[in-house]
Amino acid sequence: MQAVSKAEKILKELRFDFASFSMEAFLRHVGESRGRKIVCLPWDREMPFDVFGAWVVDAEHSIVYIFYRSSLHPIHQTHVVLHELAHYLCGHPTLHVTEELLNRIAAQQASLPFSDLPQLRSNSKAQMEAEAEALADLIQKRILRHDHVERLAQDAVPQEKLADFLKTMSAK
Amino acid sequence: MSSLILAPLCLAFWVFTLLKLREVLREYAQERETTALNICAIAFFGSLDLTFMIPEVVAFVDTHIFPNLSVLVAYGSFLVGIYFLTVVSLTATDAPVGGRVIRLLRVLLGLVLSALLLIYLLFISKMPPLQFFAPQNLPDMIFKLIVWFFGITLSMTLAGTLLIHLPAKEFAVPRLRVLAIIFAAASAAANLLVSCIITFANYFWPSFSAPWLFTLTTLFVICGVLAFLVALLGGKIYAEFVMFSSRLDYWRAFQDVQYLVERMLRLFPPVTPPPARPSFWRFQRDPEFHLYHAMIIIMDGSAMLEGFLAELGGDLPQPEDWEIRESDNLVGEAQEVQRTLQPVPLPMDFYEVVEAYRRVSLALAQEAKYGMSG
Repeated sequence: MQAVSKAEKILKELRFDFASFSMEAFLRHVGESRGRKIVCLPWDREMPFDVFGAWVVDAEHSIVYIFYRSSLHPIHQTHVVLHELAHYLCGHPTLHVTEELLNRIAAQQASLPFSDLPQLRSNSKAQMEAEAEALADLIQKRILRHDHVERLAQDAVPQEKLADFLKTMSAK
Repeated sequence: MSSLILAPLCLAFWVFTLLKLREVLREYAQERETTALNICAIAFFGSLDLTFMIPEVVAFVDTHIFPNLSVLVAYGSFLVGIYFLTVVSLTATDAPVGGRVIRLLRVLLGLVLSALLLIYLLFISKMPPLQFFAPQNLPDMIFKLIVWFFGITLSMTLAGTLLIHLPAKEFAVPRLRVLAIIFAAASAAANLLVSCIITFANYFWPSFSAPWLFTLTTLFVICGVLAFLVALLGGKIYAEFVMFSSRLDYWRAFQDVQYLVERMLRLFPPVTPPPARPSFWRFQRDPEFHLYHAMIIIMDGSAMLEGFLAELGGDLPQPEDWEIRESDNLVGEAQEVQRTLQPVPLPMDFYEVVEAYRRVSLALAQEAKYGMSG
């Protein structure tokens, strides 16, 4: 319950209009509100089997990197990105990596330091996971509500003339 | 038909007509939007038709203006109204032969209206009050049959055009609206057909009596008018209806995927306990979210299964090699879930993903080699 109220508070403070949601716009908005650039990167190399994403902070620049497993289904990828972003929004601790390490990772000379990330299944990890999941859920809930209402209320079909006819015919 | 039914319907049509007219004058006056003007014409002639069907109006007009004038106005308005609706539909759907059909229908409408006016002036206006289904003489029967046949032609053209161009399922609201128009047109055609049969039968066999046929025409008229009124409803009302029906579908899908969700949760208990399964009413508040959450649990589990079994190494055993396993044999259970999941290609669309996992869940539940806890 605590996790949910914390998530609601964070989302309220963000003041994002979910009616016009796109992942790109949302990441930009979060970045601008927190003074850091958010960069999402697909990860196609090895990851522990129960890890789908990770986030690290650039130690030298105002950038947050979110890595997600590239083999996941796009719906799953979106959830993973939102979950990792939620960790950042909740102010959870993570690794601060140097530009040099990031360059080596990009050049495939090094891997993400998964073993150094906050330990899975520790008590504090469980609390952080609960908070991140609650916030990611809340974001998804808002997206789905707006998307559903918008999609249905559009009353639109690809055929422009037919759409115009049906729209004109309906009472306002 | 009773004025108790006709009067409210007529009032509803007039209200819509005036609202539409105001809208057209405000929004489309400068653009001279043909569709909007045609829809105004449909509403106007539809209202006029219904007005001249109310028994009290008929009696007043026929007594104080011209004998049987109400029949000419009602039939003429009906044909002109349905003509405009057919023209708008043919234009809106970009039907390949639409232009030619519209020209043909325009010529036919001109001929039909001229013929009706001529018969009215020469015969009907000099006759005692017409009875709806009992032609008094040949001109009376011809007058009615012209209306019925041309009406059937227009209704069938309208219904056929829209049926061919029925929006796909994913466009639920416009699809429903088009279906309502098709239903209205089909009801009109059915009503006219039955009217034709009754008129013919009454002319050749004056003793003909089939009260159920009269009831049928009344039923078709009510269905047609109601369907047309439904087609005029605002998009938000449709959206509410679609949401309600899709919520019930989502609930069924949610129930169906629960078996797979629980299997995944048992195989890979999450770090944080998952939220309790929502009740029907709680589910209704955010149906897509609950369904989405279930999908994420399955996707989490599915992705972990792959890695988990790969870490164990070796090929998956063939089904015939499997032994009867105990319920706590998680490796065997993981292999079974993986075997059912593996051949299922995941589509990109969320609702298709739900359907794919639904099928997997039902298939697994059918096998049900492993009991579920709780």
